[in-house]
Amino acid sequence: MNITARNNVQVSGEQAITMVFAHGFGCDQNMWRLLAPSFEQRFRTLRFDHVGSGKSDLSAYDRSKYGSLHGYAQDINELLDEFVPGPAIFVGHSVSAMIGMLADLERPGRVIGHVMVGPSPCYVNDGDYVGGFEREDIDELLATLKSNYLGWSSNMAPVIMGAPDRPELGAELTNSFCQTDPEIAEHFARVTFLSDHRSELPRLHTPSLILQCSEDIIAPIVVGEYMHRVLPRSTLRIIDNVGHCPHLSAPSASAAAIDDFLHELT
Amino acid sequence: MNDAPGGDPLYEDAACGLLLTQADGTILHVNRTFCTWLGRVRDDLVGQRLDTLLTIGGRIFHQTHWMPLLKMQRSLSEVKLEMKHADGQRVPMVMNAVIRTRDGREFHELAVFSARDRHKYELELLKARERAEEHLRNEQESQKALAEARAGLELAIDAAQLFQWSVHMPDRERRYDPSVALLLGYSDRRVIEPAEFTSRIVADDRHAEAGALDAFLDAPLGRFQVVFRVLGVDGVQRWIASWGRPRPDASGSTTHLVGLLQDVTQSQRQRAEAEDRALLAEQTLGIVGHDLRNPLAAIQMASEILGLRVLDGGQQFALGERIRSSARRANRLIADLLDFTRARTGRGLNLSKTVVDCHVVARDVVAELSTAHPARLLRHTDIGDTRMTADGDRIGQALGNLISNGLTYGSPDTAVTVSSEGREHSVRLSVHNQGMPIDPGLRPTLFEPMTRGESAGHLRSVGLGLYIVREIAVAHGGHVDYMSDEASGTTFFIELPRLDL
Repeated sequence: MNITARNNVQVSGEQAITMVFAHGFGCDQNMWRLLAPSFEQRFRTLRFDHVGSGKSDLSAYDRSKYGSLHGYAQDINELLDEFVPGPAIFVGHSVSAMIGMLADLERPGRVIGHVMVGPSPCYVNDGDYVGGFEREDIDELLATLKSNYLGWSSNMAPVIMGAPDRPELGAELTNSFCQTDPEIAEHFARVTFLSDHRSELPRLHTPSLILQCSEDIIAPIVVGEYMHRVLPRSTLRIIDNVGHCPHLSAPSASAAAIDDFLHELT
Repeated sequence: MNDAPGGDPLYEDAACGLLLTQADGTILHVNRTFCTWLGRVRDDLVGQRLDTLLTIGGRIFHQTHWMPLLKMQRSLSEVKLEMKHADGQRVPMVMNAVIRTRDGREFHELAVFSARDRHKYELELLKARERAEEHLRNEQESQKALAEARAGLELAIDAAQLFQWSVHMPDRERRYDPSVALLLGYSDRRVIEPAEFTSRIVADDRHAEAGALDAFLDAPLGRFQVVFRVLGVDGVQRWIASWGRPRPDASGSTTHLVGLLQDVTQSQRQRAEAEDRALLAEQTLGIVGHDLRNPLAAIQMASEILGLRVLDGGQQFALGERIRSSARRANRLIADLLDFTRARTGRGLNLSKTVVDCHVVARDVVAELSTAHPARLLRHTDIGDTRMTADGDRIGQALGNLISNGLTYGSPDTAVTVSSEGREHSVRLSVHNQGMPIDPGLRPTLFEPMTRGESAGHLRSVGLGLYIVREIAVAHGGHVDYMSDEASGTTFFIELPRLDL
C-alpha cells in the first residue's frame, strides 16, 4: 500500500524532531497553513489528510476500519513507521487529538508531546460529565447532514464580485478544501461525535498541551478543564478566541502557546 | 460604523437579507428583509452571534466548514444552512459571505436568500437519489445473486465433468464452450470451431450425429439426445453423450438449443464388459447344462445296464467302450470350457512351445480318432517339412476339434482327409469333408462361441470347438479359415507362420 498517496502525505525539513499535524472533522491539512509555518524553522513537519478527507485516496475508505477512531490511529502509527524515524510531536485538532492519544497508547514511546487543539474525549453529556451536546443534538446533526446532502457536496467557491479582496490562497485550494464525499462526511461525523475515550485519558503519560478556546461550542471550556484534570501530564492553555479553529482565527496566539509548551518539552 | 448603510430602502427592503458582522460573527447590522424572514425585530438580532441563529447541525457545520473556508478564501458562495424562525420553524437559507477589512478591522458581509423552494426541490432530489440508490443496490444484489448462482452452476458442471454447447436454431450454427477442447484430447481449454468438432466425430457416427440434430431441430420437442464417438487429438477415442433442450428466450420463442456433453467412455466400456460377463455366464451354463448332459446321460445309461444283468463279453466291451468315449467327450468339453473362460476373461491360452513336427502331431491325432471312430474313414497326407516351434498338444487339440467336426458334419459314407503341409514361411493343417456346405449366413460368427444379438432363449451352444481352434491359431500368430460349397465339400485350414525361421 502506498501510504503517501493514501494519506496525501507532505513532509518538509530535515530536523531531528518531526511535528505531525492532523486535521479534524471537516476540512483537510490546509487547516494548518497559517500555523505550521511558525514551526518549520525548528522542526521537520508532516501534514496529511485522513482517509476520506481532502486529497486522500477515497478508495481506501473502509467503513468497518474507520468505524472507530482506532482505524485512524492505526494509520497514524503507519505514518510514523514510514516517515518519522525520530521523535514526534503530535499536533491534533479536535477529534485528531484523541486519535493521536490512541496511536500513542497503542505504540508508546514515539510521540514525545501532544498538542491538542480544541480536544474533546466525549461530545455528549453523560451524567455529571458535560460534553456540550445532548444525544438528540448529535442525532439532529446527523439528520442535518443527510438533509443538507447537496449543500455538503457543493464546493462553496468564493464569491465572484466586482472588486473582490485579493484571496489569500490560490484557486487550486477551493476545489478540494472542505469538499468531502457526503456519505463519508456523515460517517466520519457519526464516528467522531459519538466517540467516548474518557477511560483512556488517565493512561496517557506523554506530556500534553490542551489548547482551549475561550468560546467554542464544539469543545466548551468545561471539557478542556475536565481533560486537564484527568490527563496525567497535561497543561491547559486558554486562548481568547471564539470558535473551534484557533489555528485559523488566532494563529499567533496559538503558536505562542505551543511554543511555550515545546520549550518546556525540548 | 457611521458609513454603514441604514434607512436606504435599497438596503432595508432589498430582495435578500443583508447582514454585517464582526469577525467572531457578532451581528452589527441587519436589514428589514432578514428580520421579516426570521420573524424577529432588529433589536433582537443586533449583538447576537450569527451561529446562534442556526440549528445545532448548522452550528457544527458553521464551525467545521464555514469558518475555516471563509478564513481561507475570504469569501463563500451558495452555502445552504437552516436558520431558526421566531416561531420555531426552520427557514432554509442560501448565503454568500465576504470578508472586508476596514480601518484594520475585519468585517463579514452576508447576503442571505430564502431557499424554501430550492430546499424542497433538493429534498425531492435527495429522495429520488435514495430511490435510485436503492434500485441500484437491489439491482446489484440480484446481479450478485445471479453471478453466484451462475458460478455455482459452472462449478457443478465442471465438477460433474460436463461440457456446454449450444445451437443457434435459426441458422443451425453450433457453439462449443472452450472446455469442450478437453473432450477432444487437448490439454487445455481453447476455442473449438464447429467444423473441427464435427471432423473429430468418428466417420461411422458423424452422419448419425448430424442426422439426429437435424431431426430434432426440425421438430424441437422434448429432449435431444445422441451418443457418438470422437477421436481426440491425443489419439484416444471417447464415447460422448450429448443432451440438449430448446431454451425459450424472454419473448417465449426458442432460438437456442442448449446442452451438455459428457464423456461416457467408461460407462460404455463398463456396459460392454457387463454384457460380456453376462454372455459368458450364459454360455458357460449352456455348455454345462446342454453339452455335458449328453455324455453323462450315455455314461449313466451304460452303467445302469451293466448293473442290471450279466452281459456277454462282446456286450460288456461295447458298453465299456461307450462309457470311455462319453467320458472322453465330457473331458474334452471341460477342457474346452476352461480354455474358453481363460480366453474370454483376457488371460489367454497357456502355450508351452517346443520344436514339434506337425506331421507327427497330425498322425497321432488321426490314429487316436480312428480308434474312437472305427466305422469312419480317416486319411492323413503329409507334404514337405513341418517342423516348427509350437505347442504340440495345443495344435493336436485344434486339429482334433476340426476332425471331430468333420466326422460330425461330413457324410458318414465319405472319408475325412487331414493334411499337414510344410510351406516356406508357414505350416498349413487342413481338414476336409464332403457333405452339406455351411450356411453362408453363419460365416461372420462361425468362430465365435455364440452369436451376439440372437433373441434371448434362442441361445444355444454351438460348441466351443471352433472358438478354441481360432484362439490356438491366434496364440501362435496364425489364423483359421474355411472354404465350403456343395461340389467340393468343406475344408477348414489352420495357417501357422514359422516365426522362428
